[in-house]
Amino acid sequence: MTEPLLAVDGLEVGFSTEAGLARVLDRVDFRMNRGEIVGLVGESGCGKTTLARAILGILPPGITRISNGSIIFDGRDLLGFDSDRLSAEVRGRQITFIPQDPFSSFNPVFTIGDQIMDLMKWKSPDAPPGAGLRFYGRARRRSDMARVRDLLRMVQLPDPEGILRKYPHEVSGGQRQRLMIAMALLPDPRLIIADEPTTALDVTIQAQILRLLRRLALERGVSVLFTTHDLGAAYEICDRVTVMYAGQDVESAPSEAFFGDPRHPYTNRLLDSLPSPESGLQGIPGQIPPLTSPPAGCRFHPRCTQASDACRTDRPKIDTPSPGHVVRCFHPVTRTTEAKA
Amino acid sequence: MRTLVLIVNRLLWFLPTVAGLMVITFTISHIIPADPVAFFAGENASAEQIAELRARYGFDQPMHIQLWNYFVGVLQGDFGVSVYTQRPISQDLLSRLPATLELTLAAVTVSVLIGIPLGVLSAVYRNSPLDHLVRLITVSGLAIASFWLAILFQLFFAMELGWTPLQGRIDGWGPDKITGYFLIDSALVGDWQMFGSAASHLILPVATLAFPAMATIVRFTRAGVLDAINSNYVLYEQAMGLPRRVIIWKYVLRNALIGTVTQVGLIFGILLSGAVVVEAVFDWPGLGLYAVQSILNSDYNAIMGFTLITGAMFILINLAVDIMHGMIDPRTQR
Amino acid sequence: MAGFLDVLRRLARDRTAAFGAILILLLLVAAVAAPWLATHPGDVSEFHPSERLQGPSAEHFLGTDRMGSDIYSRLLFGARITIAIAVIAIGVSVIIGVPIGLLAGYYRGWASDALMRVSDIFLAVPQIVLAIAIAQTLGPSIENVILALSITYWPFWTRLVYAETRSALNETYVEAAVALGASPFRVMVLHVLPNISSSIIVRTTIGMGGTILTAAALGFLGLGPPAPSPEWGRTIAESREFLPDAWWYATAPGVAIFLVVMGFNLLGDGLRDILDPKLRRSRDD
Repeated sequence: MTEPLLAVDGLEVGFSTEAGLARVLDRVDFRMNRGEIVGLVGESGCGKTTLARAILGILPPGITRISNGSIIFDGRDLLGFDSDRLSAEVRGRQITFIPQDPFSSFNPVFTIGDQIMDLMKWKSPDAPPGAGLRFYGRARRRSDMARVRDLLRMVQLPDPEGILRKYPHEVSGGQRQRLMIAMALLPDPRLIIADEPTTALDVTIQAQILRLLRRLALERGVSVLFTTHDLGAAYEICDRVTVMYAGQDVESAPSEAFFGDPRHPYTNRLLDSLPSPESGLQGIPGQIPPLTSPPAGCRFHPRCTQASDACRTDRPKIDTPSPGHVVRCFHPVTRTTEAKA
Repeated sequence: MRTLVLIVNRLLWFLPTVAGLMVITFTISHIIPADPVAFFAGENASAEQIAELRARYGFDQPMHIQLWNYFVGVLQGDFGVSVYTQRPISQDLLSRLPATLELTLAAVTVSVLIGIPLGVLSAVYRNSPLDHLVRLITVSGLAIASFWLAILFQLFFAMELGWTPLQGRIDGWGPDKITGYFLIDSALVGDWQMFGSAASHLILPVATLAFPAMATIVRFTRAGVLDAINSNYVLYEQAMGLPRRVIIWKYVLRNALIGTVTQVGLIFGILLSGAVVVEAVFDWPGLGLYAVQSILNSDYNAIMGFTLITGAMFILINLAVDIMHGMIDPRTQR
Repeated sequence: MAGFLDVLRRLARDRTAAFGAILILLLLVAAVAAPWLATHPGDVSEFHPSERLQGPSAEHFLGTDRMGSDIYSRLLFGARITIAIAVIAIGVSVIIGVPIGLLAGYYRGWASDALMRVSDIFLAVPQIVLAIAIAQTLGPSIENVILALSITYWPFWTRLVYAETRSALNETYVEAAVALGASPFRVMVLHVLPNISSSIIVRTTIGMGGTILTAAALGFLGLGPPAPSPEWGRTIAESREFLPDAWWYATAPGVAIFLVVMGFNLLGDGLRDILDPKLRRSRDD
């Protein structure tokens, strides 16, 4: 299947703030294929969360301005849907969500079982579409319950019955995130968007959760879009990695090519900044530009040693060093030619 | 079982608090520079008459004995005798309690029934014209002096327009006492004219009393709903495509209401404080009016009785709210 | 406290808070400049029975009262009383309540618990109920109103400061100070106090409104400064028997109270939005 599951083209998103319009996404292109686990990496503020939420359609309504672009999912442009339709047909069905903080993402005054079964009422694979008044029949409730129990076992939660009766504050962080994974899989989705799912967890648990997510996703043929600022996590489970900088997509490559042969100057700096015995600690000189008045052309150019006049005015062209490996740069580098500053 | 522990726990706190209140009211009433007995006895009383009165009311005992007697008396329901009406104060208070309760309960009902939905709508349609109007009313409600609002209402609706009676609780004599609540008692015997009269007399006082209470409820509900709307769990529910009305009226409302319930104690305090002046303005024969009359008559014992009863009621309400909160918010059961 | 000018700037941008500040400013101006702004400054104590109960006119902006005195002028002088009562009552209760709260929060032991118990008892009753009892006992005067209000208000600050001190003690900056050998006094005054000061400031401002209302209610009930004091609550009480004809008599002082209390409420809300970080909404990234 060559048709991508998700194709974002030329997406431009702005937030209107007190200081002016913040251009958080600048003509972003992004692709995902079926059954792929893609990591979307970048520093805080690079736009990865915004892109993830744009796909879901849950950007803050009052201040969001989408001025251009398309988000084609399964052949249809999600930007053309009105919010109610998106909510009824796509969200929680074909595209599900794993949030960053599993604690505050559960409603504190309802039991876990209440919330999961409510989700099943509206979003289980057997649920009729639409958002009209819903009668939740006993037969369906029973089959849904069985499905829930199965999935809870698959995410390795002991005592599924007991957990359903508990309140969110009575369960541990790792267990909560496993529940979130289960809830994301229950509606039988095509795509799971996981927004920094391990940031709020202890380091020891992070790897477990990530591997669990990967295994289950691959078993069921579900694609996963996984945003993170942690390159190690991306290395752990991603088939492909896309880097963003200051609202622009910068490089995208299969894992091996990404970590072994990065071409964009920023990607190189990013990988270099991982502490290692030889190089010690290296930062990237300069600062992330303000998105209300970003640099023209390639937004990385003020901090880039390769920058030329073209970089300062035009959007960099696409370069394809190898199949599936895409770089947006006028002067891509390789590990051997990159001069260390 | 947990609830039982909670109740017992709170009761253990309740008793010393009321006892402490008694000490305070007693202390207050006995730092008077003036001599209430002499005042009551009048200018022409002789020294012996005053001494006799003093002995009769127990004012000649040393302070700590008076305090002890007072304690014992209160525990037996004896608040002393009103120097003015010559009747036991407990009797005075008891006879006036239903009037205040009827007023207060009606005010609570009105403010909750109007306040909560307004608060929800105000939050959901944030910054809309409705929201701004509601916030304007809320701010005004908290800045207006209750006694002044009462007078304005009287001026406008009773005097100018003649839509409601000016004051009092009912025209003529009230219904025979069954519960003490005029609305209930007249309905029970089917006297609808009396019912109507009682109801129409309730309108202005309830409106006055409910205004600040409603403003508070709207504020807290609005804040609670806004908090919930901006929370991560609402974001998650939206991301997973739950219908909007389920999110608002099931998930958001429950969270917001838990916060509002804890404010019931605060609201009751507002109502009690307001009742004093509102009853004064509308000549409503309740505890508040009793307090005001006692002030005019320098009836110290009566005022202390009023303070004690009101204080105890308030403490009791807060106790009930505390317990209820412990029961409905799962987070407190940790 | 860093950022005082910053606070002022942000306050200026909040229109409702700025409006509130203007109202308070008007109150201050009225109070301070009463002798010069008043058209009949002598009417605070002089009577002109022949001019009683006249409606608003060019000579008497807000009409005259039952003694023939100019209501507008008496209103201005009443502002002095209002400010005096509110500022002194809150000032005294803060000065008493805050240090007690600090001490109770810092030191543990039965004394702290006892203090909190006493505070709880005072707070268990609506302020006006106790204030009536106290004011009634002591007799109607401005000093007794202030006393009654102070006595019933200090426990509020004690409770507040106690809770905030207790939680501040768990903060690392306090632990650091103690580890460096700072005396309890230094810890409390130089470390804990500045960090809870914004909470105190916000509540003081909001508390002014409530205090003014309670003071006016006491005045209305006859427990405030006695005749011929131009206190606003008392004026409203006096006006009652002349309604509905002399409608201006009750309206003027009522509107004055309303504007002043609203001013403090709006300003307090604005301050809270600025100074209390927990209440600020954070935007999505």
